[in-house]
Amino acid sequence: MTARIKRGATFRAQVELDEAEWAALWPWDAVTAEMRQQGARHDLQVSADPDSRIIALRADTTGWAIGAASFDVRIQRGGDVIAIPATTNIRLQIFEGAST
Amino acid sequence: MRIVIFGADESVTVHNAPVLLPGGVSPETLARIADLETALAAALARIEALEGGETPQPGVAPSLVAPGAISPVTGPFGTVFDLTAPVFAGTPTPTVTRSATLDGQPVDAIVGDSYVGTGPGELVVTWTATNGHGSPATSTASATITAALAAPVVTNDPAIGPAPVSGGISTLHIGAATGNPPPTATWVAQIDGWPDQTGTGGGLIVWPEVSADTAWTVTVTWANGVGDPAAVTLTGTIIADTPEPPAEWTLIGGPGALTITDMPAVPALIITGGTGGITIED
Repeated sequence: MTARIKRGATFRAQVELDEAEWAALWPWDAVTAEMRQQGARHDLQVSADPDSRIIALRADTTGWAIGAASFDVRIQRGGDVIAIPATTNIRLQIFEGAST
Repeated sequence: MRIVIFGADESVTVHNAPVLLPGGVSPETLARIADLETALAAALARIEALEGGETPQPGVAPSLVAPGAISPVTGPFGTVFDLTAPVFAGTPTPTVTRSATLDGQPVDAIVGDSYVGTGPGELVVTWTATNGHGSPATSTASATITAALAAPVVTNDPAIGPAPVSGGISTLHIGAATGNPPPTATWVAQIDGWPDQTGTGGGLIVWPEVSADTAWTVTVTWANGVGDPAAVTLTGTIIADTPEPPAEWTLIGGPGALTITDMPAVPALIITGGTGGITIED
């Protein structure tokens, strides 16, 4: 199932990791996340809570296009680049709301 | 790992694929699932558009209504070739792309709807219409780009032979010139500054009989409508006729008279008589 959100609404997502997964990432050297959409890329704000092992993502979707989009998280640690998720991107559908 | 996406009015939980699917699922399968999700997303968007009031229309493959064209169909290098896009029908409205080749090699010198690029060669422009239904429709137009226009340049000067003489006939050799389009030659012969004979290409020139030396000119002009004509002028003098001098004078003497015949009228004579004889000088 593909998540659907309305354009203009604040995009929020979080990646919840178990202890083993978190231990493979933390502490990282850098973390970034982007939403890719029809050739465009939108930066996502990234924050992390080591205690709960959560990476939180946030973005303003006002300038995003209607249609399919996907995102992932990119972590650099000790010279390695780790993609989360490793084998796919998380897809979602942007659609127009009734109110502007 | 679990990934949770919070929407403005709903929350959707998306698990990382390897967690949800049984072990051993290949990346190809995951890619296929991703493709299906994309197709599903497009379908959902379509449904949403229809729910928003858009009139549903059945898909109709593109078809050519009016072919594309290039104008002019032939022109020298430097010509601006105007492209007229073809008209395609189809539902939804087809997306039209355009490509061009010159002698089979791709070119990208189309600015807007005009081609001003390199040449010479055969310019072929192809428009392709697609809309996701059936086969694409195409329209092709072509034009010939010839060599660039060039003003005449004389490469071989004209000549006259034999040399003009009073009442004589000479042959005019027109020479040669280059240019694009190929230039043609015209000539005019003037006698003492007045036009006397004209012609195109080479030919014979009949010289008038003159009683005094007379100047002549022959001007050969090459023209092709491009730039300035190229002209070459030959000049000379027609030598007047002169009587043949007598081979020798004849003196006939006799009592009381002396007759001189075959003597040119021109020389002035001084004749001195005397008992010692006669002296003739000129």
